[in-house]
Formats: sequence, structure tokens, C-alpha cells
Amino acid sequence: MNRRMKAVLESKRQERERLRALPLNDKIAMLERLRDRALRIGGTSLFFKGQKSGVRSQETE
Amino acid sequence: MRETLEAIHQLRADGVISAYAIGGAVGATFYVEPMATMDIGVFVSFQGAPDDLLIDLSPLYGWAEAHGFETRGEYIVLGGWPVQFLPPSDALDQEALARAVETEVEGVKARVMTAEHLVAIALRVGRAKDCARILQFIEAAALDAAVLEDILARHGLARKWAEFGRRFLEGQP
Repeated sequence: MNRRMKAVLESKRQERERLRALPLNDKIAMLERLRDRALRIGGTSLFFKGQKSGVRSQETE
Repeated sequence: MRETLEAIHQLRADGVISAYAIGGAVGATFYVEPMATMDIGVFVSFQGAPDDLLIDLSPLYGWAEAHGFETRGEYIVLGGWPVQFLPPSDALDQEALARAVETEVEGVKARVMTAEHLVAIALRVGRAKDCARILQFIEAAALDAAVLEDILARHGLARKWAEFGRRFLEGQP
């Protein structure tokens, strides 16, 4: 692995660490923004259609 | 999230469920960095429900309808979150539910699975995203190794854990 790639991976690790250390309420707010984005991207077509009422999938997200 | 938790507490107060614990990606967010997810997985137990019988979830949906909450397939939308209620499927789920820890979100109490139970369940499920989640817990040093090993041994997951280690952790610093 070259020096540039090592620096990239290290910066990603540091960013994950920063996110982990956020106060819980901030993380929840971020989670809700991620949820909204995920639902906008694929929610209506991929998430809810074709699911039968009362049938649960094998495992949750 | 506050409204979601308040609705879940109301379900308990109304006697529809007896205990609950947040699992999945939302549960993991209590220990590691937030990750994209579209729903909340809530493990629930029901008063007087024997372990060996199929559990009827219709009271949950009846409660949602009576209280004006939207249902989509197996999900009930509470406070903007599609919530999937999951009865425990095995002894590991039951233990994870029983040993969940209480915390607080936006001023409301919340019961969340322990980090070790979240990892054990992710290992059991074993999809790519579950493996990625386990690696997040390891990187975050969010696990008590002795507690995790005890859970894995008691629930027949020790071999799977060793395999996970060979696949993802060998050669890592």
C-alpha cells in the first residue's frame, strides 16, 4: 500500500472516530437524515412494494 | 425518534407488548458511528406468550390502526420511522431482549441491546452488511471480549466467529 492510500485510509478512520464520539442525540439526528435519504432513493419502489402484510423478513436492518 | 419511543412505551403501557429492545443498525448507532438504514428493528416479547408457539402479531397492527398509525407491509410507521417488531426467534434473541440496557434519547428512555448481543446477532445473520457492522464494533473497541466470547460459546457461534476472524481479521494490525 502506498503512502497516499495509507493517508486516505487513516483520514477515513479518523472521521469514523469523530462520528462515533458525537453526542447520542446528534447521532440520532444524523441517522434520521440518512433514513430520509435512503427512503427517497429507494424507499417507495424497493422497500415497501411487494411486501405482504403480516409477513416479516428474516432479519431487520 | 422521541415520538417513536413514546409510541413504543405506549404499546407497553397498553399491555400489547411486555418488553422491547432496539436492535439492528439503529441499535448499533448507540455504540458506533451512524449508518444508513430505513427502519428500526425492535425485538419484542408478549405477556404470557409461550416460547414454542407461533406469535400472533395482529394485536400490534390492531393497536396501530386504533391509534391512527400507518402500517406498510410488516412495518408500523411511528414518529416517521418504519418500525419492524420482531418476536425473538431463538435463545440468543431472548437473551438480547432480556439483557438490553436502558439509555435516554431526546429525553425519552430507550432500551437498546448490548454491543455484544448486537454483534452476536449480526454474526448469526451473516450478511455482508452484518459483517461490516461487526468490523465497526471491533474498530471502535466497543466490545468486551470476554462477554462476547461467552455469548458466542453459549449460543453455538464460536466456530462462526473463528471463521469471521480468519476471513476479515487475519493480517490486520
